[in-house]
Amino acid sequence: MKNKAKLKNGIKVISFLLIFSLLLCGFQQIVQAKWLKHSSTYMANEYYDSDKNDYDVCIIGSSQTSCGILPMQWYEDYGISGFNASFSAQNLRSSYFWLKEVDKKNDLKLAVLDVSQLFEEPYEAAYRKAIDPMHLSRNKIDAIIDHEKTYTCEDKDTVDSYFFPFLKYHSRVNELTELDFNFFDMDTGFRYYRGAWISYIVRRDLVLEAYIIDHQAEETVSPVALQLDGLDKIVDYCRANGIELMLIKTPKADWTLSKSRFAQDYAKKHDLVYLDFNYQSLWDAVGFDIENDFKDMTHVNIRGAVKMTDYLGSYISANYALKDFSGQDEDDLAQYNIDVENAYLHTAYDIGEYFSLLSNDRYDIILDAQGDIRSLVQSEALNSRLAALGVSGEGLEAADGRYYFVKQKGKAVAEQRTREEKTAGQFSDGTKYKLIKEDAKDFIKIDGQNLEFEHWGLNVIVYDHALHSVADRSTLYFDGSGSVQIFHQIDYDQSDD
Amino acid sequence: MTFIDTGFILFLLAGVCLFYIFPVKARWVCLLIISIAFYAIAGVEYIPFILLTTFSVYLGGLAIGKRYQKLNADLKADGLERSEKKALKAAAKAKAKRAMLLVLIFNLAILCVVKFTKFLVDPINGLISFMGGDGTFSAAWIIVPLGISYYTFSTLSYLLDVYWKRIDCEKNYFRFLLYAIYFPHILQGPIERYSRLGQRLKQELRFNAEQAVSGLQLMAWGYFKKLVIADRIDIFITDVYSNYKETAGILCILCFFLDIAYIYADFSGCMDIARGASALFGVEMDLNFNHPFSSKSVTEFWRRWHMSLGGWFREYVYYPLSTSTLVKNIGRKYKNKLSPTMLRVAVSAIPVSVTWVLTGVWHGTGKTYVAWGIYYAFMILTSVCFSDHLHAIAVKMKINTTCKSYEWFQMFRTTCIFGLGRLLTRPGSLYRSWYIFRHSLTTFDLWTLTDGSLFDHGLDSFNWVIAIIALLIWGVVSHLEQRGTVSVRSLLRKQNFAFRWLVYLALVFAIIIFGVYGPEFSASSFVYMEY
Repeated sequence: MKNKAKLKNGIKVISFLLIFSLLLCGFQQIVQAKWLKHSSTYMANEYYDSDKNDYDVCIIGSSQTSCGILPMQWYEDYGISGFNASFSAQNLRSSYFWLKEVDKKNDLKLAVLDVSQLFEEPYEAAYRKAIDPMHLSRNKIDAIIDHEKTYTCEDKDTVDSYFFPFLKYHSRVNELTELDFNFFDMDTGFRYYRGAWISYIVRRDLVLEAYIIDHQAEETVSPVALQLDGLDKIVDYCRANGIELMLIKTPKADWTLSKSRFAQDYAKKHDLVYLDFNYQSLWDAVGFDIENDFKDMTHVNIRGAVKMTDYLGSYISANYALKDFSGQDEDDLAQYNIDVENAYLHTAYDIGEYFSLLSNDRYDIILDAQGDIRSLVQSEALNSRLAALGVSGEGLEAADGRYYFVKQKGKAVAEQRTREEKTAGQFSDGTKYKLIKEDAKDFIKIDGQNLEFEHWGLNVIVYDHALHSVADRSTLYFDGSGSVQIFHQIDYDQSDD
Repeated sequence: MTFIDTGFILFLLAGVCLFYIFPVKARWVCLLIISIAFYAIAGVEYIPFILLTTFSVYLGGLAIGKRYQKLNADLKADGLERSEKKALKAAAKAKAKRAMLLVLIFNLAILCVVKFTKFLVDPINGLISFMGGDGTFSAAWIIVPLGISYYTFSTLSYLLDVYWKRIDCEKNYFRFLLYAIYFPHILQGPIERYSRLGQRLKQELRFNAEQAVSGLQLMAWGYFKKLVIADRIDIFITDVYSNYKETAGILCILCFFLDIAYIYADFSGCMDIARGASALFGVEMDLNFNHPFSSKSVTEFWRRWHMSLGGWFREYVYYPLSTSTLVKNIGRKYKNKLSPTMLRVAVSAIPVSVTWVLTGVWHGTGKTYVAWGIYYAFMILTSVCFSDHLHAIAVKMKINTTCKSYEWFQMFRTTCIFGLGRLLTRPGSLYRSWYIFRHSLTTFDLWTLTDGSLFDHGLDSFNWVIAIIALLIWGVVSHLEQRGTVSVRSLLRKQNFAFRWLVYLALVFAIIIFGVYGPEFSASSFVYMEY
């Protein structure tokens, strides 16, 4: 009788603890989602979804490699199977633990490490971005202990908050958004392939001609001790586990000659390859175009990434004996290529290239005149391209901005002047849209979401019916100097990375 | 490690598991090991201090006990004259007194050195410099062991109780060490008597499910008060007192009342956690608070607030002083010269003043704490002096002193007196205290309650809402408990388990979600841990 009561009490206690633990895990998931839009979370999710022995090569480093090296392209062009475990502000100690984490499930042959963090002070938020998405494992515990032992700044978080993140994040309870409650569908518009993300942004106002600044040759630089120690650990780990290590430095505006020399000396001392894309020779070999290939002063965009990836792929296939994985990931590859095409469209500023990309049958296109576009349509260059697209031109020259054209699956299906405030229809995949003109500002409503146009001119909405999403929204406008310009609308924030 | 560290929860969990693995008879040994480990985690360097104090008091108690034992044996000898017995008693008492004083002074000296040296360094250096020396004494080497005020007072109460023959001396040093170092009470008390805690620790410590559940409830409630209420409103109080010159008077008044709620939530929360944690080991600990804000006078308040400290000073300072020859002589001398009221004041003056100044100094070493002691001594003596007059005025003005509203007035008055005492110590200096007091009464700026200034002191609207709701929940529960008609915990125990679990989960998640803790907040440690 007594034992029965004891058993009953035991079951009660265990049940209560189970319910409590489940609720606590749920709560932790909700509040912990601080880095939901951060590259480390996406990278980690992708990595943990992958199978055993999927990868031969691991790329580690910060955001410059996260958006700068595309393993999918290596796979397509060279049959190299790599995973990009880089993410924004990944310090070299975190790189070490992530390399170990990737190696745990794979038999890595080569590690490609970007050394830019050597001269950057680590900071707490970067540790959190690195450690929080890592699954509980020996590596995670080691990373937490390493952080506790070696990192000594005032803003340092406590060990327990790394094991139980709700201790830190519970204060977010009054700033939670819909995104935080989205446990299963993490898609916020970012595209990740084998850990790398595709950067859609172009900064056309960059003025640097080359990145290495010669007058800083005499500058004395010393690496941050914590980072150097991290690099040493990576070198030791690779050596102990038979992994080839290759050091690189992607184009970075504040990467000086002295820093580069330090990295070169380090590589030489440890008998490692070091490729620095900031030098003119490599810059030219890759074929960087400062006007089109950069997201900002320190990151390449998709165009720069494709070029740099190609150069590195060719170098790796020529210098390292790696297994050919061709033909093993074709579904993802097709998806990747669609995304790359869309990214090229999104970063196209040459009218010729832009219209050439628009000719893809995957796209449904809507043209919508916003404001007076008479001067715009007088451009011969534009008119001929619009005609090639199927535009007859009737009503296009009207001054009241009431022109509307639709092309679906390669055919013009509507072209009209309209007095209506709203023009509705549906794309090839059945998705409904509605063009709305309000207070002289146009926007398009797709699936209940309003997408506004910020520029006056001829709005172009490019809908990818294979992806069921808008591939590009841009406005063609006349800049007054006689040429037609393209303004691309960015619908989601890529500034986090 | 404090009660609000994650480490404490894990430590407690591990400790409870280990404790119940031990055979019942050896559980006290396990508890001793756990308590020593807890103390060592706080600082290994503290261990020699507590060992020194406990061992010296233990030896002192043993010496006194043996002396009394011998006396008893001697007194049983046949044929002793009354005068001889008296002489034997006097000799034994004198020897016991010498042992007691030796140990007492030794331990008070340790307490004074570690607590007051830092306070005295500046004046001493100043004096030396004034006399031409270099005045470079430093107190950086001084270690202040965790809970020294608590364990010193606890052990000295044992020594005095043995000396006064209230209890027998403890023969097992480790039993005595456990009483002193028992981890739930080492941080912030209560200052338990050996006759109670010591005896409870000697009983067979068996698992009692009801007691354990009650302990967990108490702990959760304590965490709620500490993390959801105290630490949240502390953000506002700290900001207001740090920027007191730029803060409107009405906000200072709000801060004045919130500070009262803060110290109560903080300290009583800690006591609930301590008592709850102790209950998990089957050891009941004394109450330290008994609805102090329902007190109608300051004297009653201090019988309900930090009861163990008040009781200690009453028993070991106030009563001995009241019955001392000096006070008796004062009474005799002025018996026919003063009115009965003034005579009461005259005989109370020394014991009250000494007790309260010592209580102040126990709380802290600055001038503010001395002023705090003097303030309370003054308030109590004033109430002794004027209570009859005030009563007469009330009768003359036909004020009903037995109705509820008058009780509320008395409670509010007592609360304000307590709050003024807090105002002397909390802002950090007497100048600040005076400035805030004057500023509160002269610059109201009522609109600052509605123009958004309220949110400029660390708490946004969300946090204010949480604070107000939490304070209301606390108020309702306290009121129900105080009336004695409903015990919330026993009421809960009668409900179906689904409802009980819902309440438990709601309380725990209220703490987890709305608690002010973790790296984003850096929850402050308990105020009474500083003593």
